[in-house]
Amino acid sequence: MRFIDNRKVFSSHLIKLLLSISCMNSPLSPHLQIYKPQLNSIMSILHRLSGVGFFAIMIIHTFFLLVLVNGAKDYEFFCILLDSTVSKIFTVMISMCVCYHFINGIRYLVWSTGKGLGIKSIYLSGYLIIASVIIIGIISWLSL
Amino acid sequence: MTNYSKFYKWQRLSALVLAFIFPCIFIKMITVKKLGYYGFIKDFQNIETYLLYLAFINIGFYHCYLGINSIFLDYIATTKNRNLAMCFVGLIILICVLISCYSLTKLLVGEVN
Repeated sequence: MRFIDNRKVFSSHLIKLLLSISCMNSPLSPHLQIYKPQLNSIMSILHRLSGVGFFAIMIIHTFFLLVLVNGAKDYEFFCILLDSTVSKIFTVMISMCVCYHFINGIRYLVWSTGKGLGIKSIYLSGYLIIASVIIIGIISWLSL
Repeated sequence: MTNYSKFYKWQRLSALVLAFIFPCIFIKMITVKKLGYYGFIKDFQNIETYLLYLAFINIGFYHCYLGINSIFLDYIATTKNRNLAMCFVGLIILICVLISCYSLTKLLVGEVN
């Protein structure tokens, strides 16, 4: 006759139950409600948000190609749409988003090689990226 | 190697390629914009521009797909919902890639309305 340890069965059931509960109420990553906001954590979150902005610009690019195929009239209409103040603000924001994602992405690629990981250089590169994105935003606003 | 580390590797690789392609596209767009509609049409009939844009669209959307996948991995707890969301995003990306490739080919051949 096989002996079954009730305590083992109970503990395995308890573990399964706890796992299922933890899966249902999985906390937000990177645990926004726990950590105090820091430059790096905010830049990491912004990198993801700007990635969504990059996705938006890819979709707009698809529309732009379709507009080009449709002819000169549609292109003119597209240019008129871009001339309004709201779309100018949108364009500047999107270009800042993409530039931020691009520059910060290069920083991540450099980090992948193991360089620039000291606290001082991390903060310095972070501030440099923020400053360059603001400058790009001003330039793109003036060029529109 | 797990699936997730594979995703990470491909995301970094596509980012590396995009880091070279994106500035080229950006400069090209600004330069050609001054020439107007016919400047764009003439530029797109060039095979080098066609290949550059084709690479940008395919690698860019692939990079987007991997990035959104990693966001969903962090914020959507259940596998079923995550897969559903990924299917939806994948479908949108597939449609966009097909439309872009179709438009680019038409621009290359010169079949514009």
